[in-house]
Amino acid sequence: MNLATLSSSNPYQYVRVCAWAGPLVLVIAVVFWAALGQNIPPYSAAMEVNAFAEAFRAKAHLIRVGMVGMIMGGVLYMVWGLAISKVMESIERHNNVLSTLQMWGAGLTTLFFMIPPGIWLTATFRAESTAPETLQLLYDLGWMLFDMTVPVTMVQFAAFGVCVLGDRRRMPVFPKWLGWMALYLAGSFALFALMPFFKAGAFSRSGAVNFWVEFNLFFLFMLLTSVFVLRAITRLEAEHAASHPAS
Amino acid sequence: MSSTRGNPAAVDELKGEGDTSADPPAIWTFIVLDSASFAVFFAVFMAERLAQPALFDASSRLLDVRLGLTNTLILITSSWLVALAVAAGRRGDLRRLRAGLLGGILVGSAFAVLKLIEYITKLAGGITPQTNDFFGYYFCLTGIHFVHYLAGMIVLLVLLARARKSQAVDPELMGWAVSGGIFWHLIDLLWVFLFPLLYLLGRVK
Repeated sequence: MNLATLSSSNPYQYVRVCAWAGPLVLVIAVVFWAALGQNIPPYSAAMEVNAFAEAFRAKAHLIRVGMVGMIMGGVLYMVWGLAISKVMESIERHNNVLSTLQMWGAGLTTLFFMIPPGIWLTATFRAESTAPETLQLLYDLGWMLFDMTVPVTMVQFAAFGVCVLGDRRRMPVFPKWLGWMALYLAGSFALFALMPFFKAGAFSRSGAVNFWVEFNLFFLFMLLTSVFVLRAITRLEAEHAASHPAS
Repeated sequence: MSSTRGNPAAVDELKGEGDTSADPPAIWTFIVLDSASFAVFFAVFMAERLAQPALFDASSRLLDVRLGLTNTLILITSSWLVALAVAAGRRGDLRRLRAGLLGGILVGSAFAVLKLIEYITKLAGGITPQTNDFFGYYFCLTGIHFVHYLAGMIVLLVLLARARKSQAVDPELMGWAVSGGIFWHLIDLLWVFLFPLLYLLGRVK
């Protein structure tokens, strides 16, 4: 990379740093939200209230650390979203609607890494003296918001998918299959709408579909997209350098 | 806005538009993921069925096999017409491409009519997703399939509109026709699994 060339103008300055926020927030989510937060899988909605309260209180100190970590790190999702939008802008031909929608979707998705963990954090705060029914209610409330605010993420992924599929370069910036994966995820997230109707089974918050399949695919997609965003930045920087030779 | 737009020729070469019509359609990623989801749904249904076989069999017998079978034939016929349309497109026959798509849409629309009749009849008879686990899965699985069906019909309508505007079969139209056709076949295929699972399994002695 010719630094002298890029020093005059580099539209991708800081973008690579922003792109690394994706893998970072993924690690934070796995360590703090999932592992420490006792979300592999979450407590079943079918648990009897006293059994739930006992299990929750026993792990409250870990869940508290987990949720603090998630809230403090969650903002990185928005930072990651900006990197995706900057790369999407190089694909857009007519206007920046899709990259803007993606950015808004990522920005609002950030809230679901902050508000529901804030509610679970509240439940841990006085877990010993809080009534079992109240603990369960707070836990349920967190999950309702966590799963049911997914439409903003659907918009984020759909905008990204449509943009990727509309790429007319001979060598597309992102592989088309990644665009289809984004569209699939955007559609499949609609299954979260079934969650409030089930306390057990595949569509419940801890079930095969609405927990294991959806969250694993979501995290896998974050990882894949981060890899392809980083590769795209390298290529776009090279293209920019080639078209702006040092004078 | 990106400042990379309007780059000189050196970059245009990198960005050039190419004919990718020979590439395997990337929609297969979507199809594989979607099929895998349904495979999970089917596995979950079968696991639940093992837990309550008598309830699932008795509930299954309340479904109208004739409606289910007719809908199976409707989707297979519609899928066949769309396959003919894509084959015509490959030969450059725009007239038959349009006719096949139109036929696929017209035949396919009957599926919605019968499915809605079935839903309304069940709900009017007091059978809802809350009735029992079988009907919970019946409404969820057929509902998810119905959303796919609606998306597929929109895809076919958009393809038909695109084909009607075209003067000849171009690679881009063909690319979308192949992808749209694959998606429509998936909807047919999923129903071919759903029909025996929901309607027939409970009647096997």
